[in-house]
Amino acid sequence: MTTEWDDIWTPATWWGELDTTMQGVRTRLGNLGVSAFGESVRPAATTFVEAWRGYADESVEICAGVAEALTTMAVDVDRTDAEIAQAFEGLDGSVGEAR
Amino acid sequence: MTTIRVDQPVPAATADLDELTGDPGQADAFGRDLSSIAAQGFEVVAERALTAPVVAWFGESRTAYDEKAAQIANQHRTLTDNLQAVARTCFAYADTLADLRWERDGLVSTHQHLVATRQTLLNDIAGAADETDPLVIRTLQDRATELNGAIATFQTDYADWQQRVTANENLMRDAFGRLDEVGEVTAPATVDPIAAGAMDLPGAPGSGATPEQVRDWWNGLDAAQQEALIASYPDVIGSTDGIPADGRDQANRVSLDADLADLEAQDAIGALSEDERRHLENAQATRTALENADSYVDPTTDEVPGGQLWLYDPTAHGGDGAVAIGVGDLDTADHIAARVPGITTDQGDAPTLMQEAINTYQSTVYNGVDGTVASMFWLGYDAPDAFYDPATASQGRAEEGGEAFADDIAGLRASRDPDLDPAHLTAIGHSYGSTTTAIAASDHGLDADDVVLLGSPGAGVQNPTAESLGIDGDVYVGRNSRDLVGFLGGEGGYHGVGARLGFDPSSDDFDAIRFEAEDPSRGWHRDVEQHGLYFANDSESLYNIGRVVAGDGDAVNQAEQSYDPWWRAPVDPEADRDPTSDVPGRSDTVADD
Repeated sequence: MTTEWDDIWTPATWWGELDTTMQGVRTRLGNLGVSAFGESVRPAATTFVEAWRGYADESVEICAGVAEALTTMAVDVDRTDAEIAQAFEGLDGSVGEAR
Repeated sequence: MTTIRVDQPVPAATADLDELTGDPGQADAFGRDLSSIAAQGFEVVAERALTAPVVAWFGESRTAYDEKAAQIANQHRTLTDNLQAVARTCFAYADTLADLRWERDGLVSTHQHLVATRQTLLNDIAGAADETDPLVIRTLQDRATELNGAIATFQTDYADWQQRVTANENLMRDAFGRLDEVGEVTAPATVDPIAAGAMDLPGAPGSGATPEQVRDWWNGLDAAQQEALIASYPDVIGSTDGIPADGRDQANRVSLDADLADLEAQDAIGALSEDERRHLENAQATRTALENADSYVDPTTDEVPGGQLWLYDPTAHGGDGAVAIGVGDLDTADHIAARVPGITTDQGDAPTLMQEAINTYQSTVYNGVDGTVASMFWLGYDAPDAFYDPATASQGRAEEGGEAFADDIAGLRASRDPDLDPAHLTAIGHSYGSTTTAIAASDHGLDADDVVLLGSPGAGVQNPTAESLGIDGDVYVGRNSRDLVGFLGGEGGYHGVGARLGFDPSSDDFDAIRFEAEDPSRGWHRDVEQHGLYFANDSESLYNIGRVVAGDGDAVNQAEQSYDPWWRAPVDPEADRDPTSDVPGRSDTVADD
């Protein structure tokens, strides 16, 4: 694997923001009133709104899942980076007299 | 014994007429909310998923991410499209619901009148139980016959209204129902089956049908089919020649509402590209113009003739857009004015062009007209962008526009009820639009009864005379003597060929009917400001335009033609006449406040 790990935080943040965005969409869908429609339309409108709140929920989960995966990767890369840096610092790289 | 049959309307009581539930304003707002949710939610996810996150990330995790992101993008794009499709249906539903409400008010009023008339007649019949005078009995019979006929008409209208209510609710309910399961929402939107079926019938748009065949196809559809088509194919129904103006208007309003809802939602989150911003500005200008047309009150009748969005394509012509809006009913008007604007105009100018179309309507009715009027501006071609635009100095745009204008006017004529008398149609070309209009007539058989050329830089090089336009009626010309553009036309054999757009139609060589078009604000020199005053209220020009549109060309106040003596520069006799404004019979076009 090859990566510039600092960049991983950027998409992780994007997807986290999308998670928030889609939570807002879910709320907005929940606020839609079906009294705008004729009585014979309202049951279908209600079912429709409920269904789309469900899709917004799934979208929230998807965005959150991608954000979590990327965040995990970024954290792991950062931790590994720090551990390896520490290992290098602790490594006696001298030979001969200096050692 | 004499029997008099008196029918009873069904239902017998006005209170028992079907209620109309639902609210057009709220339904429209519901559609806007759905569109906004699509644009600010699902579409944002789709766009983000399509954006590559980092350049230097390779390996299995990257491959897995890309595959997942593509899947997310595709599904959220489909979700966006499907939600926008339901939003469009909401707009169509709301428009129709508003019409149905208005129609129900009329039905209630008619029903109340019928019930009262019937009761009065029954009382009169009861009071005449012992009557033997045949004249009295005959009068009662005649009243009963007339009432029965009115009741029969009411029953037909009421049944038709009920069918339209059912069709509208079915359309909306089906749109919701098609998209409430996962498998349905993640697949591309399916077209309403009623609309799809109608598009398969002979004469449908896209089948190679003539405008007349399209008209017959449309008029042969029932309310459910028409409503489904308007919601499902607004772009097609709004632009196909042969569809009556009312149908085009309803479809184009759906497209306009959908554009505004989507683009304004994207604008709110800063997601518009430069092209999309132009698109939005064109839509907003159209909304402003249409609202002006919708709210205009005819001062002679105190009635609202209403606006019609006849053409709407905000991305046409490289973003300049294409639009035509009328005031009055283009389907039934006895007199139609169709004005073609000129250089520098694009869809963003719709509000100004609309006001000038309204001014034309008003001048026509204010000074008297036999019949009804509709006045439209038509910007269905790519007018040159500026005076310095190279396209301004050539006929290319006018030739393309002339063909399009002639085609659209032919389509408008074909869309009207063939049982009606053909409208008296006046084509009005202003500025470069006069070149376009003249070429439409001479080269493309423009089906206009009369033509008016205003502030013309030339009537096309192929048109040395008014006669060469081939119009059955008359060719009229308005030229303000201080209008800079009006002096770009060729003045004749002695002094130049003008700006390569043909001859000055105000000249004696061209020999059109020139009418007065001076303005009191003129100065001593020619300028562009005077070029923009031909549709100003209480102007000589607008008065005369109104008389031509009214089919009363004999009433225009004629002006002496310009001429080109060999021994001096061309002469405009109007240059020394005192202009008028607000003078009855000469420049009065609107009631004074």
